[in-house]
Amino acid sequence: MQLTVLIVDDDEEITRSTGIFLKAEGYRVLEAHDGLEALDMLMSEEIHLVLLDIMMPRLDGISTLMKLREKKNIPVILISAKSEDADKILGLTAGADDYVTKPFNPSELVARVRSQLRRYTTLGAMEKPSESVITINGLSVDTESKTVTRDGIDIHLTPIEYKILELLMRNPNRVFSADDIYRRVWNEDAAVNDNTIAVHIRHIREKTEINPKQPQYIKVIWGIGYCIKK
Amino acid sequence: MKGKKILYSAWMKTAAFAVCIATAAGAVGAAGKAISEMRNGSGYRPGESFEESSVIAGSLSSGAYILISAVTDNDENAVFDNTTLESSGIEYYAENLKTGKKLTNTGDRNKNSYITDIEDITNEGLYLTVEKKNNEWSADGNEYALRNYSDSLIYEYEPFSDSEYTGDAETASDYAPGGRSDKKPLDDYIVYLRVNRDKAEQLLILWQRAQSATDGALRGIPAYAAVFLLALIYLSFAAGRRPEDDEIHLMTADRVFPDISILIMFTAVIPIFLEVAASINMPPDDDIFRLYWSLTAAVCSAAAVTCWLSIVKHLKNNTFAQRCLVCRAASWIWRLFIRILKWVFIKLPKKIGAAYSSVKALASAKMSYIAMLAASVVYMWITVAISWLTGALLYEGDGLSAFLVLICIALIALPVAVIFKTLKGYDGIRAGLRRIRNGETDHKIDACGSMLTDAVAEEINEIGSGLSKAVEQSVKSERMKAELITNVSHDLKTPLTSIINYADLLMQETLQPEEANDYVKIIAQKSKKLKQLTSDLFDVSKARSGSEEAELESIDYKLLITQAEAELDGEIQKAGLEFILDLPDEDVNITADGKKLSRVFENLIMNAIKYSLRGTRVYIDLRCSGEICTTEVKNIANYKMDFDDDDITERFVRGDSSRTGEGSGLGLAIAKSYTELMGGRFYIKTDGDLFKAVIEFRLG
Repeated sequence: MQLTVLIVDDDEEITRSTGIFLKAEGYRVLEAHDGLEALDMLMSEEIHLVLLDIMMPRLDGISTLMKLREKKNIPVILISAKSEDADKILGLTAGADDYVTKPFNPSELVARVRSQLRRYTTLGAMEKPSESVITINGLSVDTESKTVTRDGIDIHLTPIEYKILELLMRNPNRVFSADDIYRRVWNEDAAVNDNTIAVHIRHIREKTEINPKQPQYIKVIWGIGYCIKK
Repeated sequence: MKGKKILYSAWMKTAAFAVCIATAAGAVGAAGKAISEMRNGSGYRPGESFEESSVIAGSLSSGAYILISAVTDNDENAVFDNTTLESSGIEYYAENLKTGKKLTNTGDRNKNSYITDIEDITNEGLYLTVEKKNNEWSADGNEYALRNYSDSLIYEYEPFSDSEYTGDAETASDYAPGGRSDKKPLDDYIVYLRVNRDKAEQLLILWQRAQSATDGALRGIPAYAAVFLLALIYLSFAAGRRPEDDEIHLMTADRVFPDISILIMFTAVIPIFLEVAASINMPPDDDIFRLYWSLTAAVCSAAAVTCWLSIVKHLKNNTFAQRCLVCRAASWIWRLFIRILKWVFIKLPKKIGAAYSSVKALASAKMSYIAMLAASVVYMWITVAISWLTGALLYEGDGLSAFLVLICIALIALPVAVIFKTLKGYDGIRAGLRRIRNGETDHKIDACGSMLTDAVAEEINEIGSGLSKAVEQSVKSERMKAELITNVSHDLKTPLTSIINYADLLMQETLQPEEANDYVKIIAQKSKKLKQLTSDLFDVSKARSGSEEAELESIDYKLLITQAEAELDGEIQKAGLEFILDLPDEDVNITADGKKLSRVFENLIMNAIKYSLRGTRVYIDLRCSGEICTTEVKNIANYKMDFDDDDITERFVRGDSSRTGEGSGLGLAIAKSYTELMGGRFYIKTDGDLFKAVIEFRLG
C-alpha cells in the first residue's frame, strides 16, 4: 500500500523539494499552501501523515492542527522557522507528533517521516504488547529478551548501554544523576569527575535517535542528570 | 664684599653680643662694688677730702656719745669710761666751768693742745669741743663737727635737760643711758675731743683704700657703658643682616610680638636696678655674692638685648607696626569700624530696598497667598477676640455668652476641618506615590476636595500618565525588537530551506560537466554554514536585545562541564585533541540556566576544537576561591593570534581575519552574552599561543 504524505507550506519551493525527497522514498505526495487548502485535502483524500508549516496565510499551522485533530489521528510533523522552546512546546501540546525546525536536513526529515509512519501503521496491526515490553514514543525495550527496537527497527546496544537505557525507560520522567546511574548499573559508587556515563549516554543516543543532536528520547538535563520524557 | 662678610658674620655678632652681656655684668658689678664701698665704714664719698668725710666726725660723735654717758664719782666729779674712749682712739679734755675742775684721759691739761688747726689733723688728730651753757650747746673751734653732729648729739642729750631731771636724782636716773643711777649730765662742762694720732692714721688708711676702690669702680662704669653702647650699636646695625644678601632675616625668636619684646626688655632691666640698690647693704669684700649678681645681670641683659635686637629687626624690616599687637588690634578695630560703617551706610539701605522690592514682587505675583495669609491672620484675631469676649461675658454671667460659645466652637472647628482635609489629601498623595513607585504607573490619585493637595495630586497624576506612556512605549519597542529578530530570522530561514533541499537533490544527481558536482557540493556546504549562522545570529541578537530570559536553577557545575565535554566527545576525537578536565573534589553548585550554560561550554569546546593545534591538549580547569568559582578553557592556538582580547567576543569577530573556515564567528559572542545574562563574567586572555577563556560565577 502506498502511503500518502501531505506537505503544507506557503513556500512552493519547499513543498516541491521536500516532495521530491519523499517521492524518492516511495510515498505519494500531496501539496497544500495554506491551512484551509490543507483541511480541504484532508477531507477529500486519504492521507497518512501531514508535514505542517506554522506561519501560513489564511489559516496558520497551529489552528490547522487543532482542526485536524478534531477528526483525524494521523501523525503530524510541524515544520517551522520558529526554533524556540516555547514554540516547540506549543506545537507539541497542540497535538503534533514531532517538530522540525527550518532549515532542516532533508534526509533527517525523511527519516522522521518514516519513523512516524511506521509507528502509525504498525500500531493497529501490533499484537497486544506483553508486560515485559516498555514502549515510549516508539522506542521499545523488551526486558526479557533484552532487545531494543525503535519503530520496529532493531537497535544493538552493549550490555552496559542496555542497562542504562532500561533504567531510564523503567522510570520515565525521572531525572537520574550520573552518580545514580553509576550506582544502579555498576552497583558501586561513582568515580569522581568521570565522564563515563556521559559518553555511554551519547553512544546510546547515537544508536537510538534519528538526529542525535536533537534527541527525542534520552534528554540531557544540564547540570542535573539524564531522563526520558514520556 | 669681604668687609660685609666679616661685618655681618655670625661669629662677629656673637662676639658683640657676648661683649654686651659682659659689659653689662661688669658695669653692674662695678656699681655694686662702688656703692658698697661707699656705704661701709670708710666714709668715703667721691669728691670729698678725708677731713670732710664722715669718718672722723663719726669717730668723734661716737666719742661724744660716750662722754654724755659720763658718770659722777664720789667726789661729785664727772668721770668718763676711759677704756672705751681709748679703744676708739678718742682723747678728751673736759672742764667744769663752775668749779674749774679739769678732766682728761691723756694728762695733757692744756686745752689748746686739743684745739688743733684743721689742716694739721693728720699729725694732731681731731678734736671736738662740746659746751653746754644755759641749756644750749655750742662749740668752739670746730664748726664742721658741730654742723654735722650737733643735731644728733642734741637729740641724744635732750632727755637729760634740766627741766626733766633737776631736783630729783632718783627720777633722772631712770633716763640715764646705761641705767646707772649715779649718772650725771655734763652740765657746766666744756668738753674737747680729739682723735688720737694712731686712730686717725688707721682711719685714713681705710679711707684711702675705699677711695681707690670706689674711684676705680666708678671710673670703670663709663668705660663699660661705652663699650656696651658701641657693641649694642653695632648689633643694632648688623641685626637681621647676612653677608650673602641685603635682606632682613627674622629668626624664630622674632616671631614674638614687638610689644611683648618691649615688655620683656623692661622687665629684664628692673632686676639690674634692684641689684644695684641691693649693694647698699652688701659688705665691700663679699665678691662671691657680687658675682652671683653679675651673673643675674648678664642673664637679664642678654634677654633685654635680644628683645631690643628683635625690635630693631622689625623696625628695619618695616614689620614693626604690622607685627605689633597694639597696632594689629588698632588696625583690626579700624577695619571693623570701617566695615560697620560700610554695612550701615551702603549695605543696609540696599538690603532694605531689596526686601521692600521682594515683598512688592511677592505681593504682586502671589496676591492670592498674601490675601490668604492676611485673611487667616484676620480670622485668627477675630477668633481670639470673640473667644476673649465670650470668656468675659461668661465670667459676667451674661445670657449672650451661651450663643457666643457656639460661635467660638464653629470658628475653631472650621480651620480644624480644613487641616483634616489637607492631611487626608496628603495621605492620599503618599499612598498614590507609593503605588506609582511600585510600578502602577497608571494609578490616579483621587481629588479629596482640599485646595492645597488637589493641585499637587493633579501634577502627580500628570507625571504618572507620562510615565506609563513611556513604559508602554519601551515595552512596545522591546517587543518590536524581539519580533523583528524573529521575523528576520524566519525570512532568512525559509529560502535557506529550499536552497538546502535543492542542493541536496542536486548532490544525488550526476551532473555534466563533471566540475558541476563540486560546485553543488560547495553550495550544500555553504548553505549549511548559513544555516548555522542564522541560528547563531538569532541567538546572540536575542540575548543582546534583552528579550532572552535565563531560567535560573541550582546546577551541579562539575556535572555540567562533564556532560558538555562528553556530548562533543566525537568531534574531539576526530580533531585528534586531548581534553583534560581538572575539577575539584568537592561539589560545586551555582545558580544558572543549564541549557544556556551548556551552550556556553559547547561553544568554547567547539572553539577549542576548531582553533587548536593538532595533537595538543585542551585544559578545562574549575577552581573556587571564596565566593567565586572560575572556569578556564585553555588551548594552544593553531594560528597567530593578533586580535584584541576584548574585541574577540564581539559579534562576527574571529581570530583569523581571513574569515574563512567553519564557524559563524558568533560562538564567543554567544558565550559572553549568555554568561552575562546568567550574572557571570566572561573574558578572553591570550598569552603568546595560549588562548584562555575565563568564566566566573558566584557560588551557590
